[in-house]
Amino acid sequence: MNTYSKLFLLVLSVFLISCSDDDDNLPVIPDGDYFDGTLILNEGGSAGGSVSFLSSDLQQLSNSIFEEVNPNTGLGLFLQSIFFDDDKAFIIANGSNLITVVNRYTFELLGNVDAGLSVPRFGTVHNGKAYVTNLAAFDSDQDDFIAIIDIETLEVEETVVVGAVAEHIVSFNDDLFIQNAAFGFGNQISKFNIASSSITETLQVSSGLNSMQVYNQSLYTLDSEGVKVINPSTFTVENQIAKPEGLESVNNLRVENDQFYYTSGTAAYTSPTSATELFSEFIFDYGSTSTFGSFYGFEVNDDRIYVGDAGDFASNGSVFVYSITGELLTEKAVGIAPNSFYFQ
Amino acid sequence: MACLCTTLGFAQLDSIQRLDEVFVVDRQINRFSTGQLLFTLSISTLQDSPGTLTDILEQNTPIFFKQNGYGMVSSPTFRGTTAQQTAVVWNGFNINSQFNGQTDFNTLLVDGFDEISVRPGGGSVIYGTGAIGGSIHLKNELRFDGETNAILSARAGSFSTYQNLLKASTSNEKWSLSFALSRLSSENDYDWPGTSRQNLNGAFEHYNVNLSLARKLNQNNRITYHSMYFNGDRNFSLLFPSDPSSSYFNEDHRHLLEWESEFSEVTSVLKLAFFDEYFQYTPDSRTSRSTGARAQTTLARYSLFYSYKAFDFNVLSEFNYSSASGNNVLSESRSIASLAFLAKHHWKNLTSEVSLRQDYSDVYDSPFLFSSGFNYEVSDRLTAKVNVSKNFRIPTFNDLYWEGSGRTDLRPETSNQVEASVVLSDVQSKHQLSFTGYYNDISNLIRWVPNSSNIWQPENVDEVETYGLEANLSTQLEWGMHTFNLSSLYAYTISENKKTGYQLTYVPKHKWTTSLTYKIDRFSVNLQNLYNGEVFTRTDNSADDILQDYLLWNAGISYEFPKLQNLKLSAQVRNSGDEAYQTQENRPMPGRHFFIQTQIKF
Repeated sequence: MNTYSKLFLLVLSVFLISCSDDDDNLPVIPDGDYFDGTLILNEGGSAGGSVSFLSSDLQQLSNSIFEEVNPNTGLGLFLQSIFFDDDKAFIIANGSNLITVVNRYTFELLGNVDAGLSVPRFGTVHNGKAYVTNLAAFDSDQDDFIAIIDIETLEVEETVVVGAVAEHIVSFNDDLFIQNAAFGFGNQISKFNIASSSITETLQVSSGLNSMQVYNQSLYTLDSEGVKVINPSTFTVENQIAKPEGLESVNNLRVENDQFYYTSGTAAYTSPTSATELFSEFIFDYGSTSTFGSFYGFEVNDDRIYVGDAGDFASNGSVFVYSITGELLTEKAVGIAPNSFYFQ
Repeated sequence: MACLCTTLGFAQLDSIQRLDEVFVVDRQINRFSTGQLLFTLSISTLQDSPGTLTDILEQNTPIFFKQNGYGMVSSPTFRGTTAQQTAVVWNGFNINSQFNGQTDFNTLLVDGFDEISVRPGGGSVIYGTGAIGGSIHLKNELRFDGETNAILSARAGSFSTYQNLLKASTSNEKWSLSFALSRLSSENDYDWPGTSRQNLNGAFEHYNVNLSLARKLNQNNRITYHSMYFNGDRNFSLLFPSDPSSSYFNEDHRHLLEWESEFSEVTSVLKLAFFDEYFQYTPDSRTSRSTGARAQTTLARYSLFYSYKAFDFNVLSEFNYSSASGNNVLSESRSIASLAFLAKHHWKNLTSEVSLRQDYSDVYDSPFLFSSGFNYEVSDRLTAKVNVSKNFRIPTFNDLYWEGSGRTDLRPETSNQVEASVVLSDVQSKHQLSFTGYYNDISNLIRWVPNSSNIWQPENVDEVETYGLEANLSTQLEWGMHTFNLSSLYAYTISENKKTGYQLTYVPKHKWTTSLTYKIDRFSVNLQNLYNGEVFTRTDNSADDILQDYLLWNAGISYEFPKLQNLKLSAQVRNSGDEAYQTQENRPMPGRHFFIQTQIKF
């Protein structure tokens, strides 16, 4: 039984979408061993996950940096995502109901949120509070909730039941947007008003909703029909960019420099945001042999495309870094199941 | 008679003894093991070893156990095979779980049994699914010797561990009755050596009951009933203090009714058996939502034994009906009919055996199985053995019927294997030394892999070859009042995925154990060691992700007071070097800990 529930938890792991609401408040002079490069989150197997660090020149890779700095500790089971506030990083372990708070650049342990969570997934910070989605029971989508955490005391102050699956969460002005879709199922986004701590509106998109990102005052989502551009203030769909017939399914939408980046199968694609239909010519196909673990992590930053491949989930995963034109720049072995990237 | 030592005895394989005083219902294990070695663990070993079946076997056999912390889920690897490829056999019947095909060796308390036999290597012709790496045989004995015996044992140890046993038997010429009740509980809150952490949520409480009853109807006919009941309640220890507290409850009962008719050359045995296994898993005690499932198996087996001159024949036919239902498993059933034919022949110093089996199932296709073995007594000090066999592991109920994932188009895993041994011994068998080499080619291994729709499904994907060497030594030395018993084993195991060439995870290449007992009069001292080589935790054998090798030492003393109901007092220290070790990544095992035990015999 236990083996299968672990498998089940592994199954229930999806990609992280970038939540880049932290760009406006960077510290003046970052310091520490890990300030110049990329954090790689490794979900881990039944023995817990880890964080790797890849230097910005792509030369140096350090694995298990948290354990390196804080001996005899660990980050928890099934690391899901990281969110940031200034120089603090909040590392979410969904299997341990744990958020570990570290200095983003030194990885020194600052504290834990270890009460009041139930399968935490993604988080974002607004005005000194962290908002973290929680899946709660796996067999129910009615008990999913937002935990509102004071980031000074690290205590859960309030929980708000969402009434639907609660997965990705992003903030825009005084609202939060929650993706009510996980594991390829679901078609809804909820708008959460921070002042009233309640869900004020929901919006139906198409089935298979899998990505959500704020870019340039708009909310971009990806579902089985393609990209939808949502006005966050009116909470209506303003534009749609269709998925091409030739691609079976598209995942992992990222918007960067007025370009869409997305994946299908084992290939990565790009289209200009001005396109009327997503392009179906790939930038590169990295030919992963992993059925479920291909593009387990995907991110675009600074003209580079970062790919995490989970392989068989029982050996260490791989990270591939490509140029924006599809040239392989480096390949590194990281921890088990690399699922997301964060840029310092 | 009872010493604290764990003596590993070589069983007499070839003599077909029909001791009327003691009988067991697993008749094949001693008769049809030609070409293989058979090791027995005596009743004193079972009663003098604290803990579960895991603790006994890891000290006395080449099997490596991967435990999620002490007392938690315990998976064996026998000769480098997977956890589903070790068969646990209760009085002749395979009792591996219908759900996952394996036995959790921490859910078996065996101090109430009379003997355990361990037979490395294939055994599917007789014992069916999973007898690939080897088989573990739990046996109850009955006697018609007119004696009444009882033993009462109480053990207490570190981490609030308590283990008790009451075992009694009585008989006359017609009736025989045997009963055992054992209990093991522990807070299991040991400190994790080398850290400031403690084992959290690791408590368990297990009960086991054995009841056996036999009646001789007349000179030729006998009816026997055996049953066992197990009730285990266990929390699963936490990796991180904030993990959800999970728990696991399981309750199994098994019944066996047998009618034996014995005539001069023919023995006819009809067996009816019923097994019921139930578990309930609670992933988070805060919500106490749980999932569970039950499987029931009804079996009828008919065996005919026939001895003709230098031949021994056995025809075996069986019908097996299993059904399961539960939260994640579809309510389904499976029927299997089996037919097996076993023949053994003695000619001078050569014993040869050929066994064949074919199963028919309504769900999957079964391969034709066989086993062939030879024992050749080169001299009275040297015996050579060789065995070739084909064995299988059938898809389990989870594999076939897991909701949304199970597949009924799976094939059984199959294993072709060959082994050869030489056994050196003195005439009185006080000193024995054996060497065995084996090769095992396993194909169609079932592994759960994610398909393109991101659903994990079982598939016949892997191919593995294992080979290795086992050496066993047992010796007894006596000088006047001084007795020394020494047993030691070493196993070298290679188990490679044929596609990648990598060693399977959690299979140590080296294992070495030793037990040494010194006895003078009523006083005995015992010393044990256990060495496991490093294991890989990643399928790509990543050098940064290995569990270090370790060497553990246990020591014990005991003293008997014959005038006080044969009272025996013992004390034991385990892991006396306080070694920090793990058998599963990030699951520390206990450091130095202690037991004291009192035993009274009536």
